[in-house]
Amino acid sequence: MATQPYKMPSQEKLLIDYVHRLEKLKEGRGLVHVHLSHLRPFNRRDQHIRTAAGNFDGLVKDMIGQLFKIKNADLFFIYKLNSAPQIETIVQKIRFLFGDDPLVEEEGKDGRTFVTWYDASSQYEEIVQLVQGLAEAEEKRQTEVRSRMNARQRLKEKQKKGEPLTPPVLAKVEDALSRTDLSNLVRRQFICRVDSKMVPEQLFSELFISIQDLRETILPGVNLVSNRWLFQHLTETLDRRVLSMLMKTDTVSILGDISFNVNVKTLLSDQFQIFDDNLSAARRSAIVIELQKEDIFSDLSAYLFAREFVQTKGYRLCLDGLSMETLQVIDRERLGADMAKIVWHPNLADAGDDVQVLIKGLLERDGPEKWILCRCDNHEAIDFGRLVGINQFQGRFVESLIAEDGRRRDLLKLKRRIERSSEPQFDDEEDED
Amino acid sequence: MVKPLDKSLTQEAVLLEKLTRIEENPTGYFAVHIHLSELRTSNRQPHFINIATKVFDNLVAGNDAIIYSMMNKDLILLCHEVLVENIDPYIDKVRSMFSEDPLASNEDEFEDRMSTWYDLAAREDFAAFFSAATELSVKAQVQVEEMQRARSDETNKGTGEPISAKNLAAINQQLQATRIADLIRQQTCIRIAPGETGSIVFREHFIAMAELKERVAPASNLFSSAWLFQYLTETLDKRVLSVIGRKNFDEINEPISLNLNIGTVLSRDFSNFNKLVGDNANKFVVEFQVIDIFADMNTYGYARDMLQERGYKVLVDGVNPMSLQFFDPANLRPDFIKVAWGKDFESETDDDGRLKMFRETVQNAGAESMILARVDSEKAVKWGLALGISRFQGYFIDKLFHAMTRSKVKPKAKVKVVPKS
Repeated sequence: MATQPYKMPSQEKLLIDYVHRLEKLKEGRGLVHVHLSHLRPFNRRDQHIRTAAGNFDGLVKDMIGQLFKIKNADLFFIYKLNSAPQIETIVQKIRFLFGDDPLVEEEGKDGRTFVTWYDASSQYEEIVQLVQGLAEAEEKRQTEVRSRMNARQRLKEKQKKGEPLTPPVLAKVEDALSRTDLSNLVRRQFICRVDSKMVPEQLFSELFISIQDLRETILPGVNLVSNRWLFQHLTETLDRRVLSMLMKTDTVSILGDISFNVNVKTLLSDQFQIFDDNLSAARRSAIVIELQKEDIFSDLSAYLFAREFVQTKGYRLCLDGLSMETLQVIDRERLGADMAKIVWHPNLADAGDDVQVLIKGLLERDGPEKWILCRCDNHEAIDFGRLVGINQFQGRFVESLIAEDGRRRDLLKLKRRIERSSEPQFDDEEDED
Repeated sequence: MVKPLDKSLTQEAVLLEKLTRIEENPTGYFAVHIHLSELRTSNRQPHFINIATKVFDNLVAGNDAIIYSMMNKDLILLCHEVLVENIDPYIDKVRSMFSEDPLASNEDEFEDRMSTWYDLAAREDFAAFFSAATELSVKAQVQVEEMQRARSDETNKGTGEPISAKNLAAINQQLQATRIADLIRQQTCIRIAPGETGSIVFREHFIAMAELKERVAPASNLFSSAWLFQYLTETLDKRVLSVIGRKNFDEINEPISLNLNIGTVLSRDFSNFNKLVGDNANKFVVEFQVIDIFADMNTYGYARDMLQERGYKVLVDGVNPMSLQFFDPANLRPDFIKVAWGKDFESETDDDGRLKMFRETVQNAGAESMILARVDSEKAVKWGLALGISRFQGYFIDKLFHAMTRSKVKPKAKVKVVPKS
């Protein structure tokens, strides 16, 4: 990517600096936050925001306050409290400007707020947190995406994760796949209900092929996920292999309730028919089929058909891979999936109230049994989930909880045994295990 | 007794023969005609029908029953001494599979639209079914002949060999080396307002895929895998950018719209293109596909903001009547949303799901953002106008536009707003 010769400091940055400087001058100052980002998109065009912001021009000229227009279209105006009536008039003017938007029309309903007022002297800490949160979220987003397009980063990635996947390599991988025994590449991760004492209760386990290990086994030095589309194609091949592996009855029957990821196309294939024919009705209800959102939307009619087909057979469907952004657009209920997985990412916690309100709303509507927070790597993920009403989790941290729980149980058993052995004993029939 | 199998011996013919045998003693026989041929095209795909057919496996295995698959996708279930109650669950299962299809809705109908039952022991029913079966058989014969004729052409035209990892590299190489400038076609999106002259919103520049296929991979079916096709479009994007980048942007009067992958917009190729475009970014609309957006929404958001900041307009493409039921593209906050007009819309009544969702999207995104594409009739335009949409694209619009630009005297859109009752 071309690097720009110089970079203007962002409004977020300037706002932070200003707020920091405000600390000494906070007496008699106020801040008004105009939530233009909550307007409907067609009311949030550049010219609208410019017009709205323009209302403050006079005040800025008269040195009554300072305006910040941040990336998401929100306005921040920091002003002297003795001019409060003037500011109120201006905010009122802006409100009229968007009179037909639900944000203004239904202000106060469902927590819709058009403006928030702060008193700098008494709410200074709150202000600092607010602006810092905004700036961090923006910065994080920028670096995250930019790193993907940056050549240096790409090179680093290549050195760390291997050569990018190209069509010839893909062909080789597919070839190798047909000859590789996948059963020792299958990994298992539990979906658990985690209670407030952090004790996990296993509900079902997801079976998946470790892409990392697969790579090591068949083509060391190739980054299989480097091209999204080629990888998606590869998963179709993997699907077939996984299905045939699962058909070895001994694997399926001993695993308890399981889930696995497949493509919609696979569900409509002969392989799946054969797989299905080999299962008892009871076994089907113990299987959760996970589908990816982009796969669903690549052919909706195929998805709808497959959904009816597998659900009438008794399988459960899980919508996988939802993120903060996709949650706002894709609705589990409309898609008719039995459950959905949100992928944990720290940005969920950083995003602020809107995202929390959204997820809480979904959990209240659907009940906690329909939602899973996955890829929970740390305690923070569980805390966030708890906060929004999620109680089903999956991820490395959950695995460690299971291990810990196992150790605790072992210890308990040991303790009981010791207690028992210290009692007078006549025989050792009671010894279990 | 094993009969020599005749290639043209269709299931229809087998059914007819069976019927003539039954005719002597039809007691206890009945038939159910399941009209899958009347499903919407999107639901009439072969693998759907196969799975629906398999539903009857258990029934056929445990009873004196046969299922016949007709060439037109209809199913015929022929039973002897089976309780009707035992049949119902199977029919209902098929119905639930197609629950999104109007054919499956059982409401307000005097008779079930999906199935017709015949009591073959009743003379009248037998005659009616026999004539229905005869008709199916005649149609099948015609179809078989057509297929045989088509097969001879298919080798050099038709669909071709599916793309796979094996031939992908070669095709990709071809794409990089083939001349494509002459394959770039244009289609105009125009704004129609009642009583006003139609004006150009943009001209979409796209590659004529069928011709491209002939040039780079005549023996392959480029569309057999959605994912591998998407991979190829990444290469195409770069080619298109280099062709369009040669234009003199100061002389462009009407905005150009380009179909690009999100990944392309974040690549060096686009960065270079952007330098060439300079201050003329407002003359460009970038179209993204829904499938690409959903694959990584975070990156989409970033690409959208970056483009909009530089003055480009962002368009969400690949939305159809069906997808509107499942997500609201207004939430993607683009400048334009392109919805493909489909026959599905036409048949919708006002309180039907799809139309309701469509109204919601128009309301949420703003009518000014909406573009009705693949418009093939005046009816479609009227339909859109009635919903407040004023931007249109498609074959019919091409014709209309042609007429507009040719008549030198005050060209006027020939469409008037007719309130939809």
